[in-house]
Amino acid sequence: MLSYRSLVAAGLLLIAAVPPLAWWWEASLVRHMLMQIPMLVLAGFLLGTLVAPSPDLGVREERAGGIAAVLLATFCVTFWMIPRWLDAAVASHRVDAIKIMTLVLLAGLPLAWGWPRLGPVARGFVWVQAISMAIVLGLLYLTFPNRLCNSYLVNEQAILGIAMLGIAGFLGLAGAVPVLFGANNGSPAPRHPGARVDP
Amino acid sequence: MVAENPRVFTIDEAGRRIVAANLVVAGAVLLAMMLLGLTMRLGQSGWLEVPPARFYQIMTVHGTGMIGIAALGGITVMWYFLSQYVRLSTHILTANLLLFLIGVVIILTADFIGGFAAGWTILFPLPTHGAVWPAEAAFWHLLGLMLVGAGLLLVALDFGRALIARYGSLGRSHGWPQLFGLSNDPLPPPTVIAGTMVTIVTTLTVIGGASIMVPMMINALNPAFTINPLLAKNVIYFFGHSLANVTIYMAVVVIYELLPLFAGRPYKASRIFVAGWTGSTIMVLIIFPHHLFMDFAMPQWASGMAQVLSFTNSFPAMLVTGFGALALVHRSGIQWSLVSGLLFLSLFGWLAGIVPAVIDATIVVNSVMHNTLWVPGHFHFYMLLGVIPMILAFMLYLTRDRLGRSPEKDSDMWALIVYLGAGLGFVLVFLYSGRHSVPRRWAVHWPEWMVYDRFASVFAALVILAAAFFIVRFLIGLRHFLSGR
Amino acid sequence: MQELVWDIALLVIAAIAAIFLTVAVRAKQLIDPDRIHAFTYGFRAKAFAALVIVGIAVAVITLRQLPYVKSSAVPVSQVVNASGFQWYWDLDRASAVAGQPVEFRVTGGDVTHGFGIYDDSGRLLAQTQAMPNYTNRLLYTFDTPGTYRILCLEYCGIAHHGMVSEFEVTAP
Ligand code: HEM
Ligand SMILES: [Cu+2]
Ligand SMILES: [Cu+2]
Repeated sequence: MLSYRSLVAAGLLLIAAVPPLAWWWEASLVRHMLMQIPMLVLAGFLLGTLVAPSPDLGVREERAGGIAAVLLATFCVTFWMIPRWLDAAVASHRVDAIKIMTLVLLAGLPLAWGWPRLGPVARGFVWVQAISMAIVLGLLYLTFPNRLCNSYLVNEQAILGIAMLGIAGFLGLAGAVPVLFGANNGSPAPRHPGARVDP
Repeated sequence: MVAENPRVFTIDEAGRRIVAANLVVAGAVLLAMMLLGLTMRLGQSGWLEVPPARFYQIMTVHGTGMIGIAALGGITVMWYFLSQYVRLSTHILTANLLLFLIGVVIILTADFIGGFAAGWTILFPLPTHGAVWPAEAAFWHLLGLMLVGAGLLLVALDFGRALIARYGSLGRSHGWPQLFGLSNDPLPPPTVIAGTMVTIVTTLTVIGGASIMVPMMINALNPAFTINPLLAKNVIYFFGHSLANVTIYMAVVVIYELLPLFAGRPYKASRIFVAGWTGSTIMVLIIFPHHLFMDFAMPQWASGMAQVLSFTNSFPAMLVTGFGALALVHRSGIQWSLVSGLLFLSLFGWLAGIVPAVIDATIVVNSVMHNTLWVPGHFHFYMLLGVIPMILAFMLYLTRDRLGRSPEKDSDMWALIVYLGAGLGFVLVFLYSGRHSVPRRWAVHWPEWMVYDRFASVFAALVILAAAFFIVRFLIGLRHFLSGR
Repeated sequence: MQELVWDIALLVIAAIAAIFLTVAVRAKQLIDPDRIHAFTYGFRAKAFAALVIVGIAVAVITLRQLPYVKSSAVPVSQVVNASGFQWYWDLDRASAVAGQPVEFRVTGGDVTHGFGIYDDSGRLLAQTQAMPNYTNRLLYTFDTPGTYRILCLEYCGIAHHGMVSEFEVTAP
């Protein structure tokens, strides 16, 4: 079935992962981290939305599965944010192929499956972690005096650092605005105060 | 919407158990940390031999542990009362306690066995450059802090989830539509408004804490990764200031909820109340540069702003909560009891504790007071005589003194008087030592300072006796609370 | 300064305590809640106005005498370079002449320390942070000759309390 989403996913993969273009993205630290990697994850995510069954939130195991899937995705993305592995991907085509596959299949895909299965607290937790990870990376890239990656120059690190802080700010606003000013009308007070719920 | 305070608080079996567990842990850790505090005072007074390395480990554990239990106790108070208006999760509160306990074990190991002693403020680069403790000890201490923070974050997120489910958004549960004249609905109850503030501040605090602790942990593993020390200090004090302060905004709802029961008058939110709490939400998060007045490299506008905002930050506490609560009690025929007495005392401790804080937040004063004992003087004031009595009042309310109907004994009143008198003496000695320029965080005191330390030791011992009395009372009464009588 | 600050603090704390005591003592003299409402909230508006006025006055006065040195400040003939290390002070000169400003250029060699100048009676006169990567300029004019001491005022590890150096100030 050729849906809109699968077309976009295929297009993203074509742009981000097919060699001459892929090397162009990887030639710059900022393009590599902030454009190629997100495109790969997004492609995997879109593919995932096509194949993942819709969640049955009444089932406990579903939620646990959701958490596991998102954790997997987080680890995968974090791994490829480590300068040493970025370097390795630039240096070796084989590592680069692994990077592309894992980001699509082990980050994007599980995210699409896991995210809808997370409860609001778990989502908030992931969101908050994402913000602080972006700040951490921003601080590190911004203040690290030497080259972190052999393949890239120091001045690119500073740009990346600022961009990371920008991403943190964006994630923060994107989370805060609906939470503070969202327009749903709420629900009546609980009839049995002090009662327990499963978030 | 619920406009008035409920007359009766209800809680189900599972909720009772986890609330009790939290309070037992908080009470036990409180006493242990107080004893460590006394050990420090005895060491400084020359009455007890405390080797400096041990002193600074104790100082680190005491500060971290006290802030930890203030947060644990505070969030339990908030959880209990907030659960009267929105549906909260007992699982999350349990997860928080587990994370707290694991974190405490890791921190105790890192500090007392690993030797980590960088103080509760973990000012970079000291944690990883302690010279005598290994960087791994810093790694583990920070990991322990992260676990405690993760637990608090979970509870805050659960508050947020529940508030949004009930009110639609945090803006609404904060009362903003009414504040800005966009809605004529009745305001949310005070506890809901305070709970919203706590949700926002706690979440941002944990983001700040994680953002600086992870780089420091990386630095512990690989010293080549460093952070700019001034930037680190800003983030650390954003985190530390907000965390230490939000504990009182958690615990203060016990005043909003219980004082009306004793005074027989309702405590309602008003637009001024909303404005005050909105001001607090914002100011608590941005006045931290008052910890950096002596960093001359800070931009001057930041220091000036921090001084002015530190003044105005006292307005909501003084004029909204303080005034409101005093008006509530004034000529109300309030029933004095152990609980209402502790509540009244805690309000005094909070307001009076603001005074030395605001004074020290004046840059010219800070030049001669910063990092003297004036500083522990001001925060022990509102912690020891503010936050802690709020939590103690809550404990005793749950377990025995429902509206003072159980007869008060003389010993109860004596305990209250000793706590207040000795507590006041203890913090005033800190302040007085600050007046005489005695530096803060000195394991070994000069002979001319020791007379203050000796007075402080005696006061501290008395405070501990009174606190132990309250906590034993709480433990004895716990059965009744658990049986849901 | 310290005496003034202590007196003000004590006075205001005592005033707050007096208010609490009054409320506690008079709590049993019942009064209609509506009357109390009108009375106290009128009072609150006045208290708010008073706090704002006092606050502005204090801010205006105190913010005009900040300890921060601008780079174009008066030329200073006496310059002391000071670095804090775990656990000692490294001063390139340990004396100065009274009556003329001294510029202390303060930095930290390993971790952050605090540079606090004490007189021989043990009173803190001025301070600045001694942070790695930064040099803070602290301007101070000693009025009287004598032996002064530099104490570490930022916790820097387990011999923090041992970081004391002497500083001689001689008559001009
Ligand atoms: C009997 C009660 C207490 C005693 C005897 C005590 C004693 C002390 C002493 C001696 C210090 C070190 C002072 C110095 O810098 O030389 C200290 C620091 C501290 N205390 Fe307490 N304290 C008590 C209660 C509390 C409470 C209730 C809290 C908060 C809820 C608290 C929080 C702290 C903090 C955060 C520090 C700073 C630690 C650091 O510098 O890293 N204390 N206390
Ligand atoms: Cu030092
Ligand atoms: Cu020091």
